[in-house]
Amino acid sequence: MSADTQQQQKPGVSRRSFFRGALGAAGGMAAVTTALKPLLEFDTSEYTLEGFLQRHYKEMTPEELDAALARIAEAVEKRYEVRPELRDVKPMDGVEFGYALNLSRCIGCRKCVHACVAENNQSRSPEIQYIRVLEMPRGSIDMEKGDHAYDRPTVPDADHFYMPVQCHQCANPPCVKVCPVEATWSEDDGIVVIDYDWCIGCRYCEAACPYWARRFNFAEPQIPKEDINPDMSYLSNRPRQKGVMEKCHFCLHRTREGKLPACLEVCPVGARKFGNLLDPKSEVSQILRTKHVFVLKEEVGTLPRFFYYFDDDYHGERK
Amino acid sequence: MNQGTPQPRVDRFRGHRFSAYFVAPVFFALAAWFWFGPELETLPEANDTSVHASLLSTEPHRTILGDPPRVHVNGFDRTCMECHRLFQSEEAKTQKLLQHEHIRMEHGPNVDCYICHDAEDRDQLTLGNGVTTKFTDVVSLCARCHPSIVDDWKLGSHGRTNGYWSADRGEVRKLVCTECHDPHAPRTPAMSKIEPLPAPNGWRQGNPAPDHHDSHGHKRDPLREALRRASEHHESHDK
Ligand code: HEC
Ligand code: HEC
Ligand code: HEC
Ligand code: HEC
Repeated sequence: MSADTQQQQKPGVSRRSFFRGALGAAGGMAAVTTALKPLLEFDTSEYTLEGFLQRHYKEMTPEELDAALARIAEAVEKRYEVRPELRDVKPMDGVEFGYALNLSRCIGCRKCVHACVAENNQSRSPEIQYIRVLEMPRGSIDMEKGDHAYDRPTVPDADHFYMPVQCHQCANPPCVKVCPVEATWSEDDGIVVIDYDWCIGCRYCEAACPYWARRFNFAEPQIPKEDINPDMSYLSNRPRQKGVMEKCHFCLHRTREGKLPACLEVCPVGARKFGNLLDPKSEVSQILRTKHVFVLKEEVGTLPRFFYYFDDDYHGERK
Repeated sequence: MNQGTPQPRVDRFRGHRFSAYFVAPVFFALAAWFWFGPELETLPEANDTSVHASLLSTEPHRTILGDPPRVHVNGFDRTCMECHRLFQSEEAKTQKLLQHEHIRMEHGPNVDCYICHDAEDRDQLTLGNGVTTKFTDVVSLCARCHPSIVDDWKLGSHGRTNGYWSADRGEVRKLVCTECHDPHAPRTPAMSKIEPLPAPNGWRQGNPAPDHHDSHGHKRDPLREALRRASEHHESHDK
């Protein structure tokens, strides 16, 4: 730039710099006011001042946690007119969960998807589902070619096979690493959980997950009152609010009390297997020993706790 | 590059102070609009997408017989032997029956009833060579001809377990073969050709599905839907 042109721009304000300043300032102000707008809604939604000021799950004292549970239970009751059995369930000693799925059996009926929605109080509108059932052409396992929107009068289709995908509860979870506020972490039993009251909704984790297992609440979740499942825990299926992430947590409010996950119990063909990896006699441990299990995208090094397998005599076709 | 004469910094600040007079009212106007202005167009609400609870039953496909087995025949609830002790059966019985007409054998070459049912004691199943077993021990019957599947069932790969994942915590309810398979026609329709539950309608279920150019793919694209609604909204305002 020459001294001449610089000379021309002086003194005072050029149109350019005026607009730059004005736009910047107005934009900044606008951002601040919108950011503050939810404060106005504190009374009308699940956002409360206490919730906002609450500490991170791992830092709460037992009393604070009880207070948080009471506050959430009250908010749920107010909104859905059901008294929830809300509690905090801790991991069990000597338990690390694993999941195995028999791909030679799955018929793609999506019962698991909807049982999960019902169990975990997922938003019905907009729809949030943790499990995606991919329909894939036979002879390849390429997730990117999988289609979860298939719509057929009956399943299975002879030319396809079906692969349900949900959170793999990785031992080396990329989603946890990218979270800027540590709102998501791995628990001792291997379940990757989210503190919905701590999540800031930046969606880094969603982008980091190679399995597309995380879901974001773009809008205020809507659940019909009569469909609420009152059996809830803090880290799993209590109703979420707009602007936070959620995902499969192996039904921890059930599984940490010994029950099987909802998706498994509903499977009409018995393709889903669950249990304690540290117990050599559990169903998953035996399957891991005797079947040729594999994990999705092994090369990315996420070390999933979710395994897939085919039966040995599987000939890739169903009558 | 020619740096030119360094200009005094005051000048630049003066410029901004000047613009602040213009900007302040804009601030307030904008702020007022955000606080009191119209609600921004929110994303559309889909219909309630819950599926009926009956479609999500965790009950097995079939209820099985106990020991002794009891059946409803002609309005009476009887054990098999309450009738069968009254008459002698034919040597090899296939499907032409005066009783139990609902039974259709579609189990490969197994058409003779006595492959599985004991000819003498009808309350028992037969394992061959005169060995019998209770109806509740049906797995031993299936194991005669499907040993590898039964092994898979034992280790937990074939079939399904309901209830608890460990006996230390509660009842581990391992479904037996006939809770899924009809022994007479084992390829159960409930496990092969069934209607799938609805596909997701979500804004973002992870990555988008590959091109769906069928009618459903389009109808179920909620972002497209949102755009459509927004434009309709604007059109109605324009009028
Ligand atoms: C209401 C009386 C009645 C009851 C109860 C009954 N059966 Fe029968 N069952 C018959 C009659 C009558 C026949 C002979 C039908 C024919 O020959 O056409 C028959 C035929 C059969 C046959 C074909 C072979 C044969 O004997 O002709 C089998 C196998 C059989 N029954 C099994 C059972 C079993 C297993 C049960 C119990 C779960 C049972 N039945 C209960 C009346 C009964
Ligand atoms: C592959 C072995 C097998 C063969 C072959 C077989 N059955 Fe059965 N049958 C069973 C078993 C196992 C049960 C118990 C089913 C249950 O618990 O639900 C049963 C149950 C029954 C019952 C009582 C339940 C009902 O549906 O009424 C009758 C009656 C019966 N069988 C008749 C017959 C007749 C008649 C034949 C020959 C045409 C025959 N079965 C052939 C295995 C067999
Ligand atoms: C006496 C031998 C025998 C017994 C006992 C037996 N099966 Fe079978 N089963 C067969 C044979 C043979 C076939 C192969 C049919 C074919 O390939 O078409 C078969 C096929 C099947 C199939 C596959 C059906 C299909 O259409 O492909 C199922 C499922 C099955 N059996 C279940 C059972 C169950 C459950 C039991 C126990 C109640 C049982 N079987 C008892 C001999 C037996
Ligand atoms: C949770 C339900 C369930 C239970 C319990 C179950 N099966 Fe199956 N079985 C299936 C399904 C689903 C298939 C695939 C059937 C199909 O393709 O239509 C199958 C297939 C089979 C086949 C055909 C061969 C094959 O690999 O496809 C045999 C034989 C069989 N089962 C035997 C058994 C025996 C024996 C038992 C008990 C030890 C048993 N099943 C228990 C669900 C079950």
